[in-house]
Amino acid sequence: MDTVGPDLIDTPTAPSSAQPARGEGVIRVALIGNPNTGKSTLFNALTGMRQRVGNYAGVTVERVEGRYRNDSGHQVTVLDLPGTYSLSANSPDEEIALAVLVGRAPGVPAPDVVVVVLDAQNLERNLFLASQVIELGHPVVIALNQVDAAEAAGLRIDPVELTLELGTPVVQTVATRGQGLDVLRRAIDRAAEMPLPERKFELPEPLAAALAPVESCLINGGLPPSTAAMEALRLLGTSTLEGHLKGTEGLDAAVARARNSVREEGGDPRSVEAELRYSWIAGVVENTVHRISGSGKTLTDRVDSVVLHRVWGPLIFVALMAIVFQSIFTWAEPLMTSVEGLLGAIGSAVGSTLPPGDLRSLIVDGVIAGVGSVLVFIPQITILFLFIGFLEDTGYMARAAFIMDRFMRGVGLHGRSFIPMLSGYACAVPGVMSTRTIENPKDRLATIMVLPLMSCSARIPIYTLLIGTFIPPIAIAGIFNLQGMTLLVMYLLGTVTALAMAAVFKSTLLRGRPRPMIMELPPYRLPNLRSLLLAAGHRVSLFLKKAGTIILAVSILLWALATYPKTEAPPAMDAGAAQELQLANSTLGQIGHAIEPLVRPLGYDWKIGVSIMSSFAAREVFVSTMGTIYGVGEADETSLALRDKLRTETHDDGRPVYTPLVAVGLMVFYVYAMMCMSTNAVVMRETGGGWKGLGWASFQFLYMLALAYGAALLVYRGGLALGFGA
Amino acid sequence: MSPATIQTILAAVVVAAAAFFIGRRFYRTYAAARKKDDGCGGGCGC
Repeated sequence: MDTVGPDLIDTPTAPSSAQPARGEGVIRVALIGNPNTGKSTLFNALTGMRQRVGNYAGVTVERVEGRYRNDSGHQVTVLDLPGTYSLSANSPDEEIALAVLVGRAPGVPAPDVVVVVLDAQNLERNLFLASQVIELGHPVVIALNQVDAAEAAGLRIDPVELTLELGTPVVQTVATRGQGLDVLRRAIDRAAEMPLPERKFELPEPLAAALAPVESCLINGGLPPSTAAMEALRLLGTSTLEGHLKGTEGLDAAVARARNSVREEGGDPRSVEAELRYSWIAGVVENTVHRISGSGKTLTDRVDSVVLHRVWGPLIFVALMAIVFQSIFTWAEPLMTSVEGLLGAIGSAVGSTLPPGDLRSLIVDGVIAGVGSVLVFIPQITILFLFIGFLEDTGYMARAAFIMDRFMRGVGLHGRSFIPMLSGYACAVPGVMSTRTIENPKDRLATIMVLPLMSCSARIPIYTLLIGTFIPPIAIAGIFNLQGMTLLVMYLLGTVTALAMAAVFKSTLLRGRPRPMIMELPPYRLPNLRSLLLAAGHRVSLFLKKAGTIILAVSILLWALATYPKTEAPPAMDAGAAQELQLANSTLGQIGHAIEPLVRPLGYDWKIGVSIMSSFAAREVFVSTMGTIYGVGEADETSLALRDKLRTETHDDGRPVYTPLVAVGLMVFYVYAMMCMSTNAVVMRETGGGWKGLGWASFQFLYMLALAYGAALLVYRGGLALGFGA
Repeated sequence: MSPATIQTILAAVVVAAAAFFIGRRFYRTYAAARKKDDGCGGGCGC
């Protein structure tokens, strides 16, 4: 592959007077680029980190830092900035990127080198951001990524010509295959020794004169002259001053005068920057990009004509999801049985090693029964995330966003809401944080308010426990079965309700017009197996971490509440009755009986009631609580799996506690209930923090709880009335 | 001390540690949420 590193560039290499000081040999590199340029893949390849990547725009919404050591042993710190089309700072993530680059982000020193990642397939659009970054006056290295895909699409870019046009080193890379990384690392090491890049086009004289007072204000406010020149041009088209410029004396008035001058010259201040830059970019593209084949329909175009079809598109989407959910049951079952067997063997081994006593009971009935009941769902979680990763990497998820956008706009949500809501299927916490890409505060708030209705991975243990135990695997249409379809219905229920609630919020509390989104559809790609396994492994490790911390701690606490005070059973009482007596008289039993009247209308007993209550810590705790409750006081350690215990659980009058109707009602409750401390806290923070944030977080918790209770009541009572009670 | 008493004491220590951990997690999660731009309190699981 052709690469152009600093060694090949025909530019002077004398040290620049503006060479940045590098504290204690550390080189700070900022990685910036348009969304979906392979920036995060490049970041992972450079640093060996496992930052999440996806074949759709907007995966990186926060700053992420990684490190590596260069050939001279110096540490290089790489900052992966959110994907952004420009430095216009229209949304919080763009504002973060700009503030970091101009050295005004609190606690983040200005970078020594900026690596701009360009998608070789979309050079024209990508150069807009590059031209802005170049003018900031930092040493810049251009990583021309995805050159293989560009060549496959019939485009060849001349790297030497591009280097000369931009005045910065250009390195060709294919991040997914690790190509060009060594050259890129060397270019980064030597970038500070290169002459600083500067603006490549002249401003028309009247515009330069109009901007001069703005530049002076910015320089007086502490910006270096090159940065001030870029900022002055940028400010012409922005409506408000960003945080890092607030307080700059006289800036507001200077910008207003400059805008008036532009209008007097017959120009539009909002578009003047774009016109200048794109006019320069057109020349660069003409000199550097060569089309090497015709522009017939590509494979991506042909697939898209079916996948994005108005009728076939949504049907294909639902069918794909049905296959995913079906596989979760079909493929995971044998693995799940193995994990159950392993945990049972561990319980038996501990039970036979330790003499009877509280510690043995704590380990076997509290820890192994509680945490173990959640761990058996690792196969389901792994399969789900392998599928999601596959769909993301191929580029299909971006198409799913396109299909969903029609429905989202229908309910008044911003197109940019889809990616956060898609993240919500994995976990609501990063989903809520990624709403920072939404510019309008009302749109953002509406998205945050409905996002936890998307079924996250924490609900999988609950859904699969109840579906696997109470829904029969009846075949549907030959290839599907009722279990997979039930899971699909739970996911769809959450999604449809999220859209319905968004429509309610957008027409009442958060009224406003929907805004269109320009959506980029990446070409289809073959997924990278390593990247898929890393992403799924990351989710499983998070799940294990949760099981080993909060779920473990809650299981131990619940064991104590279910064990004390101890009740002496009469000698003649059988083991099962003695266990029930102990539970009923325990602290947990007393709390459970106190709240039972609240959950009885839903068909639940006190054990389900306390399991729901404890699951506020994390939804999976519902399952571990069940495991602990049914594990405490067992007569022997060769216990039945939790699923078998639930099937045999009866009320005092002999009626089964769990019927398919109760199970469906319980799943519906968990579709809607906001049982997650972490999400509650992050909503509080993202909606303003303090009392304001507390107000929104409390409102969300209460409306979702009311929705959950009402829906579960409707399912149970409606089902009974229709004769589904048995 | 009988083996059963030792087991009870050890179990009590573990339960106390778990209670402390949950309390600390709860406090840290919500303390971080009070400020607009802080992290999620560490170990939010995501």
